Amino acid sequence: MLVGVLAKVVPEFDALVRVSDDKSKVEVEPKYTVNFFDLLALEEALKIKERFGGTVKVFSFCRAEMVETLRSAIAMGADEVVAITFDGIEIFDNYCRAKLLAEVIKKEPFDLLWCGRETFDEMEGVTGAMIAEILGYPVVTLVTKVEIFPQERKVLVERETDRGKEILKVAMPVLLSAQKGLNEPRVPTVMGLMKAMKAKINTVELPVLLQELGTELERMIKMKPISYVPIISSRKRKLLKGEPVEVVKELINLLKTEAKVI
Amino acid sequence: MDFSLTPEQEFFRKSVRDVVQKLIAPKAAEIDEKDEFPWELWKEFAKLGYLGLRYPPEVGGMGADQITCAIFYEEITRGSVGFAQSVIMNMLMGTHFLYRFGDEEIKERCFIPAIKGEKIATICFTEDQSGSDLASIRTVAVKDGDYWIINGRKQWITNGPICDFATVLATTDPQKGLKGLNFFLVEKGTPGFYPGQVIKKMGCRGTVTGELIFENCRVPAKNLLGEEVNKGFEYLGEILNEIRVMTGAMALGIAQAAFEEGLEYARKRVAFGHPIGHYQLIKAKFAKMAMELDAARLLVWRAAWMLGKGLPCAKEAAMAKYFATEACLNVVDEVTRIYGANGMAEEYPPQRHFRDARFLLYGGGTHEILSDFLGRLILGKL
Repeated sequence: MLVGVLAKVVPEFDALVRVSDDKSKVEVEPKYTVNFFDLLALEEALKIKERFGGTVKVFSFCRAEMVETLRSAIAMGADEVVAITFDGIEIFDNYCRAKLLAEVIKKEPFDLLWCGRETFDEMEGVTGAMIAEILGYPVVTLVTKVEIFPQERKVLVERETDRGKEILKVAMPVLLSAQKGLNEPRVPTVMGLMKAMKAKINTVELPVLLQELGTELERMIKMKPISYVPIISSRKRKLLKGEPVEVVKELINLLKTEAKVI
Repeated sequence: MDFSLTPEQEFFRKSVRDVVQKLIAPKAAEIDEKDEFPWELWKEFAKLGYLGLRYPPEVGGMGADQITCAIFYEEITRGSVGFAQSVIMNMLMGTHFLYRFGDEEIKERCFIPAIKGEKIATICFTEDQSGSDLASIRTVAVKDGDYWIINGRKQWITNGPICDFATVLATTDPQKGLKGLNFFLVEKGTPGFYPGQVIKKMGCRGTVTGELIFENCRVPAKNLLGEEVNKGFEYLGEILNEIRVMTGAMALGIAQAAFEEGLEYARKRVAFGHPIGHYQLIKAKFAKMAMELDAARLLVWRAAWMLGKGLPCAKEAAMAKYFATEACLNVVDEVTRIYGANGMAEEYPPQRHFRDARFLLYGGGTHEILSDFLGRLILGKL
């Protein structure tokens, strides 16, 4: 089976993030990791490969400085990583990214494409669906369980909804987005790390890809940010005292009425 | 001169850090509190293959260079000192002489299972009357036909009470001092070999440290780990620098963990209307700690680099161990001060780092011994 995985490089959870003084951009400390939900997608792809044989290829769209982070996908067991790289500009248009990734992915006949349900930085969760639409694949989001039937060229998926679980049978090729609960991403072995350290990551430079497509980035981008507004939070402390049962009641009340989070 | 890690080493560092953060760090406080060997964690971690990191692929290892190994020692220690000590014992001191001198049978029975984590290894130097003064050890080995008979007691043995085998330093002739030393393999179950008292420690809890007793313990002649008799001290010299670099790297791990906790605390803890990191005296502490940590890391990496190149580095390794340890002790002290009274509370990590760091003063050579050694090297024969 040929399985593709979309993986985004995102800031580490403890990377310092701030809005620039002129509010035109977000400045992020250069500490990167592979997006958690994409790791779920990769783990599932690797399990499918272990069961049915085949190849797992990871695709990403990132700045050149982030490419090394993708070695962790090889450390986990991916056969190849292909990264579209760019420098000096920030591309925020999801459709633009999806179009460029689709151009690279469509060169091979994938049976399955996986992505994470959303990324921790932008939390939009649309790129995967856009790629599926461009490639003409059906898409199933929020997948928590999957069964493959290679002979029938079908997959049986379970997905989460507000009303409960939905079970679908879908023909391949299909794009699936991974939801928490699908699996637990494996911890790479040191042998995996050593292999990843020596592996070659295939990169496609954005200008080269655009030239192949005979287009320019400015013509592809339809969305640009105007400004960013930082969130200013102040910390309030309240110490709740008393018997545990009473304290819990008061805490729930405060979370409902003051913090308004439940 | 390029001071940076290679992209591969950076990747390795980040990956190991992620593994430690996921598997080990969350259990560090529990390991410290319970002071029991974490068998489940050991099995889980052993599967990842790190125990064979420094050995060549031909024997099932990973063939990592010395800087990569130093990175590993730092990162795993940063997660939990108690766990790291046991892991590193299996990776380095507890298995090195079996790899160097053990025959195929010994390698199959002991070495390979140890680097897979299936057996626990240790090495025994210290006795109640001799730590730094190896010439004075009183564990004696006497040849008896095709056997050696070992008698003695070893103290402060990391993994000792739970080990499956031990590399034991014994003398064939106490009168010969350093020239009578030898390493022997003694396996669990050998009559006359058994664990003694377990030592309750203020730090490095989770690693089981204690006494090993040898009473007319007979081992086959091939359990002498060495090509010749009485060359033990010479063989020790082969890995002494590596042990010192390793200890320096462990110091970096403890210091870095404490430093980052101190940083987070200084950014959040408010006093007189500002985070305490706002105040000059706190800023000065971080400036000094950062400089010491940076300098210590460069010394450790330089020594590791020289080790990897096969360059003589006794001075550099001793300096690295000494400086990194002293830097670590300063950092863990300062961080507990930054935490104020919370620095004493068990619910906050700094007190654990403070307690754990003390072992650095003894492991790999006391600082009094290292100072004397360095002084003699620098001043030469007078």
